[in-house]
Amino acid sequence: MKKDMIKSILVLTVTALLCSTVLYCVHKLTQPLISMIGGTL
Amino acid sequence: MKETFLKGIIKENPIFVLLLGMCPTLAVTTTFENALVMGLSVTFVLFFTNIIVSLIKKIVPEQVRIPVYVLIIATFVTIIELLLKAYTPGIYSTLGIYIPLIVVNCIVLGRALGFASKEPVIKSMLDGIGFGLGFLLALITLATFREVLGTNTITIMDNLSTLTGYKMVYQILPNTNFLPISIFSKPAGAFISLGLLIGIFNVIKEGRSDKV
Repeated sequence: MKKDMIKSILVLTVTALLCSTVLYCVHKLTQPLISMIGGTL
Repeated sequence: MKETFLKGIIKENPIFVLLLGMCPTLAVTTTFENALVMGLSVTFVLFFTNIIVSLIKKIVPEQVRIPVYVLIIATFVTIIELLLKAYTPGIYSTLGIYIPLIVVNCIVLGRALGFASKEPVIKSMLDGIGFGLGFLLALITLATFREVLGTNTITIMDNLSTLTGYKMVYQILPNTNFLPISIFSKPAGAFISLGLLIGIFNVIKEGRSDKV
């Protein structure tokens, strides 16, 4: 039971971190273009 | 494999058969261009979400399946949103809230939970493309119907001209009193058009299954 809970939290945390990293990279790539058109996200 | 791919286009078309994702369907099908971009965005999200979900299906525990899948879907939707905002700001402002709403589109989470989490990667990939194409074809059919009747024009490329350099907006019937029938541009017309097209689609489907 405790092992399952730890595994669940770990998987969720790792997924969130990976997703955030990918989004950060895409954000950095697109930020210059978005700033040029005067927008913010 | 062929059956998996074609299922989402005809037999289980998400708009005309399963009636999923009605909100963006009715809202963005005012022009062909908007429907095209929305359909391609959903196809992109479905394709990559199905692949990732199928790859990690054995690692993710049952208790956190839904939050993990929603995280993955939200990531791809945000990627699409950022790309649209950067490269096609006109389309981004026209589609507005309906891009982020792809996260809660039943088609995407439904296929992730109902298919990709149980099937191998290649089959999940084909399922994603099939359902995405089915959604896209349904959207552009409805949008063409509504725009031709509602505005007497067809907008293939207007906001997208910033990306492609071409503008393609055509009038259908010049010098006519018959068109436009403006109700088809309004929400009521969206429901009427959708109902008509679902009826026509079902008649064609019944005809094909009778022949078989």
